[in-house]
Amino acid sequence: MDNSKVKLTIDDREVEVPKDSTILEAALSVGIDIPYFCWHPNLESVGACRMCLVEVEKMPKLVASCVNPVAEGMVVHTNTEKVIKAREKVLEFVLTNHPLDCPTCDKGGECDLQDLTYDHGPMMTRYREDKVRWIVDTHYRFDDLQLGPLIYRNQNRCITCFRCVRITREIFGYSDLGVFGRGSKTHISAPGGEKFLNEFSGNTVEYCPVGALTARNFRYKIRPWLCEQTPTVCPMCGDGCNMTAWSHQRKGHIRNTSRRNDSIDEGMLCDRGRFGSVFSNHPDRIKSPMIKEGDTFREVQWEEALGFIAEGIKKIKSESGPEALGGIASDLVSNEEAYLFSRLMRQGVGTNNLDFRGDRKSLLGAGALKILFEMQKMSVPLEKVASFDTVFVIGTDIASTHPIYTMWLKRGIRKAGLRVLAANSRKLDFGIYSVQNFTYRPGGELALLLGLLKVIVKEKLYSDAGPFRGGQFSRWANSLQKTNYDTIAASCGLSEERISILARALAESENCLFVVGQDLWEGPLGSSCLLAINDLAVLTENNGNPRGGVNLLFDSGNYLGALNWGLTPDYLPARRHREDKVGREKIESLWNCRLPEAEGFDTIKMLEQIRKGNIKGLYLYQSDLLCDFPDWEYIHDCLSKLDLLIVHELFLTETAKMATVILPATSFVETEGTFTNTEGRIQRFQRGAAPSKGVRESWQTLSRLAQKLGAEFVYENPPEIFREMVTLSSDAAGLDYDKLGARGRIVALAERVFEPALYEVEFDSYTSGDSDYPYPLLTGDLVYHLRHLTNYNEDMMLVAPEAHLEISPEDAKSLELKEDDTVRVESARGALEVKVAISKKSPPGVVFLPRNYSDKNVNKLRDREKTLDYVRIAKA
Amino acid sequence: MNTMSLSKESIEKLQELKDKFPDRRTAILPALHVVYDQFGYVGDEQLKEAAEVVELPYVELAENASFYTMFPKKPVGKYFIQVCTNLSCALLGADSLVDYLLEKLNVKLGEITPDGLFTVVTVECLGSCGSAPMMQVNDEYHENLTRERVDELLEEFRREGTKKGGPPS
Ligand code: SF4
Ligand code: SF4
Ligand code: FES
Ligand code: FES
Repeated sequence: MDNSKVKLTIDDREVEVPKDSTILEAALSVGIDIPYFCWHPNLESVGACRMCLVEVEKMPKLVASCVNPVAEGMVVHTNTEKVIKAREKVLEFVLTNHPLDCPTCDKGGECDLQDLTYDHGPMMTRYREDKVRWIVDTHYRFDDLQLGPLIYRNQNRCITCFRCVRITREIFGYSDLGVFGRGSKTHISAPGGEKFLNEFSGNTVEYCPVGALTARNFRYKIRPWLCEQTPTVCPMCGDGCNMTAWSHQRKGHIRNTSRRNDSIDEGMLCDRGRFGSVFSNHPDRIKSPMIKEGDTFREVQWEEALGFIAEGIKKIKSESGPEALGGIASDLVSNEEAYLFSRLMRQGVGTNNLDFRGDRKSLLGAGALKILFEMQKMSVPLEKVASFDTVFVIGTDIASTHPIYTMWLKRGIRKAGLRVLAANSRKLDFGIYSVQNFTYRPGGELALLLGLLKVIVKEKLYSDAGPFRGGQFSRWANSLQKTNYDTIAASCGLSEERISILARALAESENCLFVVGQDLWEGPLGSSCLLAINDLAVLTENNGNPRGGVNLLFDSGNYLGALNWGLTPDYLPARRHREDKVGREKIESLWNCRLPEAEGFDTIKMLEQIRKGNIKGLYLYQSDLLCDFPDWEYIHDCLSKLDLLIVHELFLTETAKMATVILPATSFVETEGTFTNTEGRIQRFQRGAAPSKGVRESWQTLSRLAQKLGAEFVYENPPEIFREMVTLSSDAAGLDYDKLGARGRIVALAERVFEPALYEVEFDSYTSGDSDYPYPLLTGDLVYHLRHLTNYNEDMMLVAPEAHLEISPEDAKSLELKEDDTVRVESARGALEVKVAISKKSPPGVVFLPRNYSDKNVNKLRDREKTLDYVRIAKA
Repeated sequence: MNTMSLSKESIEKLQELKDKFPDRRTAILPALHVVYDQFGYVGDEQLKEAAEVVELPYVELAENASFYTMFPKKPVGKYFIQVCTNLSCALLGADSLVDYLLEKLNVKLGEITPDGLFTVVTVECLGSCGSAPMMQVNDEYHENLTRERVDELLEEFRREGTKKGGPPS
């Protein structure tokens, strides 16, 4: 890249900028304001609106500053009479057909056209003719056309800047929005009468400079200036995009807009975050503590509920010991809440039976977590991923699990020729941007990884100069011989040749980033896969220093925070291992208590203990186990066995309905604190809306309950909790809650530097067919949903209202199924009737059913004892 | 439905276009011509098919097609009559000329006459302002129009169009 700079003069100021800047960029970089409509920092300039005209000495005409590059010695004037006149005329022209219906336009108050006309426009128009009016047959209100489920278009207001279309195509790679016609008939529409719908559609509304595009959730609801704006962080996936939450005194949290953080989101949000996180006003919110009496719940005062819980816990403790109690939180609670819950369970209750993972059949134990922590030292920040020449995504449909992460990959493809290689058991689709797919059979992930290692060793694709010599290395290399290509090919379904192509691409790339899906490292072969990926990165010298890297993906809003702040049985807050004496003592002196000695149980083991009658009391803190656990019958059975089931929740979920006692929880907009995103970045979110009357903030509830159990928790507010918890980690210790800044801070919580090592990995796989149930069943979140949480959001339920079984075109053909046919999906466990969606993402022979629907809970088909579930499909 | 798909020749032409230009999008206009030449119009289905062949997003072909009134988007009569209604032509009576055509052929704008011969549409300036009013019929310009001249032309087209083989294209 050419880094040279040029000097020019703008409005009598000397300016020095990079050579490839435009005049507009140069001016903005020093705070000189040039008005613009069509230009946007994330987009290529097109020069469509002419609002940005400036005068350049020695140029005969005014020039559009957004497309004209700077040059050495150039003299620019942005405010001469000529420029001022031209702006007036551009605006007059833009307004000829504009309806000027500001009083009923949703953009009123935050409209670029309003603002720029106010600042630069003519006071009057000379145009006296009829305006072109777009009357829409299927109008919703006035002339609004529904482009897709979430977005409406009022063509009258459009100033044809094409930002919406360019955002959709350039940044996100979708072609479901286009500019059609010409002249005054130019209009924005979905092509061929299709729907405009992709997971980033909301950005078009935010960046439309006028009210031509409006979003379903906000249009005709409230004036923007009547809302309060609060900086917050999206909790809906691990990317941690920054948002502004808008709330109204009466209507509560009503919408989100972006809050540009160039390290994460560059001002973009996905629809799951933008729209899907608006759920705090749902009527199913729990508004009061409740105690079960017979078949119903009785609303009670807080003190009564907390007293009831404390008594219940004390009773179990005195009869059966603290090991008869356990707690499971969620990966959506804040760092402060995670820390408090850990403290409550360990100090207040006195048990290490603690977890936050409720949707897996197998969980990483302390040993595997240690490796995971070690591997995190190879990670690179999100803003760097577009600069690699190769990214290898393995074990996740990243476009669904991490939308904004995917935006960076697309940017790399578009701007820097990044090559994305993907290995997964479903295909990845990046719209118009290309991905090379290597689709493996479910259960064959480790086989593929071993195959890659074998090829790299066999073809000597690693550097000789590296540390790869000597006896230890040959022992490691020999261990790969134990598995032959036939076994590997049979297990992963990819031939030696295909594996070699991928292996060479990885080994020969200049700089390769490994992006590892949570489904992979948390899957049945998770810990072995982690080791194999470590080996791949180390062997190809892509271990992050000086090149390459490994990014382990954390799929939900605060998974990493929950892991860091003490929500697994063995790791105390700040990743202090239970048996690490120093850490333990530090915590004991801080908390002024003795920590429980006994080994704790994770979710899966706790459930076993519940089944056996050894655990009698369970505290579920925002954990919807009944919906999420991959075996409905079993979890239902377990939960019904409990003497005491405390559910501390946002909604009256199916799990909550089984509770002995229910406590209302507060959502992310009703409290404050920090989240840790997939990079390890700690970011602050603030309180944007008051919880409904009588609801206490969760941190208060946890503290008060601890007090009732005899533990002295005295906190004034979440920042105080933060200040206390960071003292436990040498890396986080310096962090100041008030100075986390606009970009947040990446905190490693790691004490040593990464020492590259190779591990021997044993082959394993878990494919096993069954003629009765031939199809392996995969599951996961749709891009529009997050577990069951988004069932409480109207927009997401409108976009993806019901469960569809995704099958390949080949299977559809052989089963004679058409789109939307109803089928019966049956496993040895149960059956569901759902509609069919034919999807190119599904490879032949593999089906996918989302885990997002309470009425069609995929977990009713799943069996916790089977690593992979199989189903059969019949037309209903 | 076979008649609706691209012919082998069209596909070959499109394949040739695909890699002919440094920026593939340059192939869009020539590709539209290929479709138009085969079908006499450029419909959604045909464009989708062509887009697959030239490996461009369908939307980009559709956008470009929509920009040019010269590409009808649905089937038209054998004689595709495009009357200019822009400034010069308008001043010299283009509107009444359109009315006259529609009345005489007994159709609405954009429709095909029952005999399949004619479709009338209005278009923007065709660059023949000095000889306004004017219309383009298929690929030919007819200028300095009067009602009498229109009558003559329609007669001629009718005669020719009902002969076997249809109009020259
Ligand atoms: S709809 Fe909005 S963003 Fe799209 S072209 Fe029109 S004014 Fe621009
Ligand atoms: S990408 Fe993730 S963090 Fe960003 S808006 Fe979407 S769900 Fe939220
Ligand atoms: S901002 Fe420069 S032309 Fe639109
Ligand atoms: S105005 Fe009709 S040809 Fe130019």
